[in-house]
Amino acid sequence: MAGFTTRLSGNRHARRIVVGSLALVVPLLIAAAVMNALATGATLRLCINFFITIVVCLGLQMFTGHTGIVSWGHVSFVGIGAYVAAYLTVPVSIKEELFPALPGFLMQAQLGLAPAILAAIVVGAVIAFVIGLPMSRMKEIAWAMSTLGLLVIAHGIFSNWRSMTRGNEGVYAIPSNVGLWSAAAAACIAVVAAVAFKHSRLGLRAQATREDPLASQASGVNVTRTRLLVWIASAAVSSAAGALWAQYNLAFAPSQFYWTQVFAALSMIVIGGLATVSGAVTGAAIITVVYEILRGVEEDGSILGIGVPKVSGLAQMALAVITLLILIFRPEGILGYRELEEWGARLLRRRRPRPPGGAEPPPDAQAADTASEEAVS
Amino acid sequence: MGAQELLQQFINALSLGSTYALLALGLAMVFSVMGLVNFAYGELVAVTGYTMYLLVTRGVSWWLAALCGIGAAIVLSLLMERIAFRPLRNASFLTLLFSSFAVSVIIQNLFRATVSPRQKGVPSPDFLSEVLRVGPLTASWLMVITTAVAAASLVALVLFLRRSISGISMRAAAEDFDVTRLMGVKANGVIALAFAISGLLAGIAGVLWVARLGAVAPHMGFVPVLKAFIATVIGGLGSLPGAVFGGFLLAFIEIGFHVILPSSMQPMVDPFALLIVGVILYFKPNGLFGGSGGK
Repeated sequence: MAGFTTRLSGNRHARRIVVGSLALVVPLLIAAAVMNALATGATLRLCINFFITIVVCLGLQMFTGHTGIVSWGHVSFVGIGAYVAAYLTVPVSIKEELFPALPGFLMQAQLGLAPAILAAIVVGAVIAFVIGLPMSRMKEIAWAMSTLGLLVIAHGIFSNWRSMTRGNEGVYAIPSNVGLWSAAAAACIAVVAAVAFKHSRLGLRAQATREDPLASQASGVNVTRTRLLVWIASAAVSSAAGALWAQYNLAFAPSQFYWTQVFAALSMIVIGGLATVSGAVTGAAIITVVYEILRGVEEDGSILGIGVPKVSGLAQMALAVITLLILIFRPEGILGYRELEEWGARLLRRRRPRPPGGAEPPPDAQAADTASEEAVS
Repeated sequence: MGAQELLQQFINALSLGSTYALLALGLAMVFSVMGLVNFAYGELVAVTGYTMYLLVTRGVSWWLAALCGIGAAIVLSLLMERIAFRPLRNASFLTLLFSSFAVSVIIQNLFRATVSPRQKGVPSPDFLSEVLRVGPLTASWLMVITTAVAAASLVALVLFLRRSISGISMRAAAEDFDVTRLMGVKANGVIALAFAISGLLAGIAGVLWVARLGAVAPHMGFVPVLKAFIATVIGGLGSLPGAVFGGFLLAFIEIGFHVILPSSMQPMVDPFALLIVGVILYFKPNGLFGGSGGK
């Protein structure tokens, strides 16, 4: 009987991952197909950037969403991924001029999109492991503080180690390896990875430490090790995002891995809902669109083709106002604790006539909701 | 390096440290009563600067402009509390932190949109940059005034917190907010007072900061809030003596690296200082004055 229950829950577990992934992957692929058929120029660029942004947000969401510790440092891993991609993809002749101090085996390397991303994942994970060893022993606020330190230190290295990074002059001549479909594929892979991670043992343990570190420790969760592993996994995703972004953007400078990006990425996951994968994707979508419309106002003085006065900094200000309003009126983010498919299931159930004697699940009680969902299935 | 230069650097660190201590104290004040690390705190420094810029360039005397600047910081601090943070009372640490981030970005961009996205000069009175010589040591008047003002503010604050009823209720609120409310202290009053003092300290530090830089820019609040945050975390978030100590310690670490590092490595002073802070936090995860448990 016990074995039967385990297998049953195992199946349900797998089904959750499949359904959760499909709920996001299908809309993303439809969006990609529509854009492929219709979009050109700036719209196409926007769409590709959106797919890359999803990967950036998911890296951050994996850590901050699961552990409840704010991280300023994931943007630095995006930077690390970008530099790794540059070392591996820039043509050898240009590389000698750009990075004179690069070791020989890297100097000769000339890789494609996927190997460069894989290399970035490995490098990001190794660096995250080394930094994470001391950090994982810290309390939440001290940990957050050290990610801030990481951001400033990484920025200092990016902009001052001239023979390896070219400093503030930035890197260029990265070959263009990313198109609409490869970006969409990367976003989908990241979504599946994030959903699987959320339902994995590690993901569940991390969520337990987020809700109550002491209670989870008492229940046998090794808080230090759990946080360290989540940190490494999320840093690997962020590094992959950086490698992907570099091969689309083709040139970058250290200032692109600093405060503006930190604020944008944090806003996206906060607006969508920190606790869910769909939240990160939704936040990325909303902010990308709002930002693009308002940037039109800022730069050309037009909103959807209608002329308006130019206001400097409007896009960023609007982003901040939206974030603040969401935090005040819906602090758990637009999607809250439910993934898209859970919202769908909830809506369908509401339409159905109420079974005789069956009580309506109490609103906003996730545990009760999940339990009733399991009772139905 | 001779004893004389060592003493000189000590004076420099003392002056820098007293600015950091003031900044850190204002940040710790709000954290201790409501658990908010107010990242919009730097914008209080900036609003002081901008008020001074607007007044000084219209011919108002520097001293009057400085007073108005401090007033503006207090008003903005109270407004932030009323508009952005009161609806979030009792929210989680993360929610509060994110919202203060958002407030900071909104105010920064308001400066950008209403005044100018570029840096603007605020001329300081000439005598501030004049050099005071005591034997072989030198210090500008600004450094002397900075240290003196900071010391006076600290003494005044300690007296206020120890002697006045409002001060005592604030300390009680920092200890245990709920029990303090049960004793009949009004929550809104204590928190508004904390924000007002926070604004006052940021305003004073802001005047000193602007006098040192001689200019204002929309993002000028960033460095002060970063230093204040680091200092309060070193000292133990929420501990007021810890904040002061953390401010001085951070200044000494920074000046130390300034002296040790060759000129080509000077941009790495901040990263190295943060590395040391990381080491401190590794051994004292709650900060130096944070005790073993707590928030």
